[in-house]
Amino acid sequence: MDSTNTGEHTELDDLALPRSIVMRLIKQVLPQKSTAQKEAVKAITNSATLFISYLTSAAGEISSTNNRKIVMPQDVLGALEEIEYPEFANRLDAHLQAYEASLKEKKLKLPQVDED
Amino acid sequence: MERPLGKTVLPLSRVKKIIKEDEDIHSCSNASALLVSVATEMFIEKLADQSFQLAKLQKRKGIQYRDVADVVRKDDQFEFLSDLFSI
Repeated sequence: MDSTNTGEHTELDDLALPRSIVMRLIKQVLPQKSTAQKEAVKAITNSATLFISYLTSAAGEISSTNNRKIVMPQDVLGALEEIEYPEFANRLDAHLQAYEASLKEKKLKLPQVDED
Repeated sequence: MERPLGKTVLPLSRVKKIIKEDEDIHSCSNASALLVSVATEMFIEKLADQSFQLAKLQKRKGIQYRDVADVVRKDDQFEFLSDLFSI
């Protein structure tokens, strides 16, 4: 089973996430002295790009069935359930609260300037 | 794997660029893009971890392409990647 499409430059390569960051994430789940072959890192990087598209499309469908134009966080959480990654949705709630809290904080600190 | 809450290590601009590839998407809030990005971090870790478990079964210390392909072949959660691995 040769690694077919890892040879020539594909459209996925233009959308690839930075190799160094993907490598760091991979290393975090491997024991110290373990490695990941270059072809494996490329396969995981391309898979991550497809995961983003897969998740986004599911979230987009949820937002449009609710007649909304903007994809909102609850659409992403709902989409994760639909594409069978419910464990991610549970862990993301905490991230959402932290993000929204940090936005509020920023708003409080701003002098009374009306944002555009 | 705990990580700072509300932050992502992936470049949000790149994540948004991939999101915009989908013509059906009008627009995506920043919070949504952040959630997609953090979920993608979790996805990368999950795929890497499961690939490593297969490598370990064969007494190997490193992940090879065929480990990732085997995970996609075996686990339904990764079924959406079948074309990428021509399975």
